[in-house]
Amino acid sequence: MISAVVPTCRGRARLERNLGSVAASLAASGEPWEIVVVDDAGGGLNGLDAPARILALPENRGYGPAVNAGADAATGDYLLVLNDDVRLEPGTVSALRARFPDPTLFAAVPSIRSPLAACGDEGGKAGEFAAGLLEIREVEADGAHPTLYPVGCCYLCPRAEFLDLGGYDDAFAPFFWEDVDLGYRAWARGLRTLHVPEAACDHEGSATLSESRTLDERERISFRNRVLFHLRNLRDPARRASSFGAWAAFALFETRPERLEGLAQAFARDAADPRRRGRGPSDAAILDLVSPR
Amino acid sequence: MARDVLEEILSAALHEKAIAQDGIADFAAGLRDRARLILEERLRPLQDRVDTLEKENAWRAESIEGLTGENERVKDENRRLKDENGRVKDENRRVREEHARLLDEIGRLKEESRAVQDECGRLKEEMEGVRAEWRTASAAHDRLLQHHRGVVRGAAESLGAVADLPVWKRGQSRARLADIAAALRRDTA
Repeated sequence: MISAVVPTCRGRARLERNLGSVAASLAASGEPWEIVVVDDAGGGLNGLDAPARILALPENRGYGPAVNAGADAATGDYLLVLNDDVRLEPGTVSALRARFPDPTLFAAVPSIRSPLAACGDEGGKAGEFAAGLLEIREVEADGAHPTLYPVGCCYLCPRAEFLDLGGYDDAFAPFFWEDVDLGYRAWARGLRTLHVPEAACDHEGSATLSESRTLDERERISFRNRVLFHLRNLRDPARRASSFGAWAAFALFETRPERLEGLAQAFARDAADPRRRGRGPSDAAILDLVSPR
Repeated sequence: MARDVLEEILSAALHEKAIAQDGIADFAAGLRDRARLILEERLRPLQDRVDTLEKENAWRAESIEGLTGENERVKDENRRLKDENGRVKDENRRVREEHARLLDEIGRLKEESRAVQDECGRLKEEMEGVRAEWRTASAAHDRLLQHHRGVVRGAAESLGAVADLPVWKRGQSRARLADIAAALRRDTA
């Protein structure tokens, strides 16, 4: 069974635009399915005309916690994690589902056509270390290839693996970088994420965020979570030392207050809830695995 | 706030030995390379501004060069116009002098014209006098002619009367002829 988990906050119009395509794609897969719409305390979903179960959260905590709540409430073997502004094609779910079962695979990501993507596809990601930090870039591909992380707006993964990884890290709430963190943790366990271009969807593009957050606020959160990602994930001592040097450079030379605020908040969040980084592939090995050949 | 964050970062780095012997080179590389990027990012608007100003400066220099050339051209033109102006002034002076000369000539001609007119008036008057004299002479001549005609007619009538006298009145005829001759003599003296 496939459970689509769709977090939303005041996204009724987007759901009404897109849920029909989700249901059609799920139905076309030939598997039992359900749609769990997680209302992140936005309200306004009474009488939603869609084949979906509404899970209303008591408080707004953001994308990661909402997906985690949906994953807990879901009953399927697979989670189809979706943003409310994503439209699927009839064959999207089938093409993703065909990649499973695979004990080495954590998630399958479709081609995500989006105005946000420089190359037109948000789905493929590679990373490299530069000046102490991980820099992520889009990767175009004709065929399936490893990708750094399952982009949060659309992917399919076994629910058990998602839960076993602990789902999204609440430290990243309300949004940004939680999907990078999840994918990186999976890679660190030896679980791949695959970009599957034969599956495709359309993403309207951060519709919820642009409606509810100022640019400065988004920059602060994005930067905070970028720092947090490095603090909580890097294992190679040399990479960590280099990243500390980079953060020191930001502390010394950065002038944007929202970034300095995000920097301070990241260290405070990490200190409040430190993560134990277990054994696994090195950072260099992970990035090498997702580098385009 | 930045100093507190820095302390926190350095503290965490120390805790992880990132700024101990093993990690110090990587820490320094991260610091140096990232600082360069941050400063480049901060400098980019200034660099863009500098680039813009340099472009503007080049444009201004080009404009100044163009304007300087234009200025030289205008100066040359000005010089040429001054020369032309001098030439025109000379010409003007010459024309004025010519004008004055012509005015004098006109004055002289006017005076001459007046003198001619006066002479003409005088000649007209003289001609009128001559005409009047001619008319007087002509009238006198007419009168004299009339008189002579009367005398001749009288003589002719007297001669006719003499002719009609009978031969025997030769004495009377002679006397009458002598009267006639006397009368004619008087009128032709």
